Amino acid sequence: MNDESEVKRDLEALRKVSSRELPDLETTVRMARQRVPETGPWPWKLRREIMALLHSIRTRPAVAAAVLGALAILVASVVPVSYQRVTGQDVALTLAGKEIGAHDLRTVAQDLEGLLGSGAVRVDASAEAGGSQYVFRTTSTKRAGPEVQHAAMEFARGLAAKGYSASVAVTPHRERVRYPAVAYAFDQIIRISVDGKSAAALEAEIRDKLAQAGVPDAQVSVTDHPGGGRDIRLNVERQHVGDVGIAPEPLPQVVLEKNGAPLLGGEGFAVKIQKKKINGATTLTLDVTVNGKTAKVEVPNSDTMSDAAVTDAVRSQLRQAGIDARVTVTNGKIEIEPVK
Amino acid sequence: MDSRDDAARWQRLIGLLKPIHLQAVATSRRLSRSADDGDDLYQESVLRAYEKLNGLRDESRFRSWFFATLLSRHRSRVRRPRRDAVSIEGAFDRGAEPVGEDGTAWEEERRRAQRVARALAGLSPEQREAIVLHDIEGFSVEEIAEMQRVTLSAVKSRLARGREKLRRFYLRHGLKSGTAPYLESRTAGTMAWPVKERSHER
Repeated sequence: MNDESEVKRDLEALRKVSSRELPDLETTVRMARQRVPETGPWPWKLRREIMALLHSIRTRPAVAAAVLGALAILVASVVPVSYQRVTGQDVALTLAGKEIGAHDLRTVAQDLEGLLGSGAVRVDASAEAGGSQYVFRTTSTKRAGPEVQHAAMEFARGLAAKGYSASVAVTPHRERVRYPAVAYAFDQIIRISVDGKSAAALEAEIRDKLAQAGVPDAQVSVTDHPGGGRDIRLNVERQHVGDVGIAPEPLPQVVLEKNGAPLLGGEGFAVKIQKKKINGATTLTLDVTVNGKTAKVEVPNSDTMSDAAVTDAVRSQLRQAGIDARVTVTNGKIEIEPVK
Repeated sequence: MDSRDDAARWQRLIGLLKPIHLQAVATSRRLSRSADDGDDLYQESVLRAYEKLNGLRDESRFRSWFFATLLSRHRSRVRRPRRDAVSIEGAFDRGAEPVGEDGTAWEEERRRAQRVARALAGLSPEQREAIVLHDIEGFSVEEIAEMQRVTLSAVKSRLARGREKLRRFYLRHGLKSGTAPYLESRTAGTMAWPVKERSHER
């Protein structure tokens, strides 16, 4: 006799023992039916279904993940979040020069309002050495900064042609809005298709979309290589000053797409530079992506370090992440070039 | 109207259950911690079958359909956290104690049953089902695959792994040829089934 036959004998014993005094079918059915409440079967069924669902969630990680994902989407679609959003462009037209009467002011204000499709135009007057100066302030509801800038500049040129001294300043108008989190997420992602666009057109589009998203000062450069390929550079610098608990305004993420799919890895090169000044200490943070490899570089107290020391710190952290790049720091300005 | 429909559905279910009732309730006990627990599992399965009965189109497949329901309830119960650890000791001590032909046969069977029940408790629910359905109930691999809703190779794998685990359990406890069919001092006192059982297979 070996242990296998011993198992067989025991299983046979279990078969016999568990067959003793089995309840009859009528008793079983009667007991089962007693489990159903006499009245109100639908709430009982609903409760049972809910309990079964909860049980499935508890015991099956995949179901739990799916339900949590669905809940997150539901919450993101319904629950609003409060955040800063560029809702238009603030336009300040400064007018000075020859004698400007009340009628002229009204005409300029009306023309500006009609041109920009904006709301009311406020006029601030101040006395300057050479005469009066008027600043027309209004907010255009158009989010595209360059478009508004172009229109306002044309308007100013027209006024200059009439003998006025006119200048224009256009800045993004931000408002704290409350939209569902999904809308917030979409606001933070800028999708741009590169299909069939020239370098200049793509560069203008990236700059325009970033300006719409509240980043009017992005340095964008798109150049075509003679031998083929395209170099797209985007440089946005932000300095956050505040306490540890205050998060900096998030920068939107630019996603370039080709044939409807995001350009990932490949020959991509991206650097995101952030300087956070918290409690007097500046920490330099760089997110570097080179050919699919990513690295997060952090240099604490970077403002107290020499350019050479910052260069070494950045370069060594990039090397540790397996990224070979040329790093140049000049008066605190950082340049990173991938080594080809 | 509803109650008439309910009654008709119960009658239909009873008619379908009659031929398989004894085997199904015995299987429930073999899969469970105790006879009481097995009876409870069976009642739960009957109730579930009643709820889903309108979805059964082909009555000739009722047996495998019902056993699939039973296995589903079994796994739900196993995965459900239980505060009551049920003792295997006395798990099959129901009713009177008739004396066997030699006066000890029933007692020995009971102890053997407890021993293998303890070994089966160490398997995953799916492996335990495969062993019980194949090695005790005599179902074919194909039938078990239909009940467990998996492939034939999955059932074979569960059987092989389950048997290997049982063999190792017996080796670990020195239960080879010539040893007494008891777990000696290890089984003395209360021996609880594992409250948390692994729900995955290796």
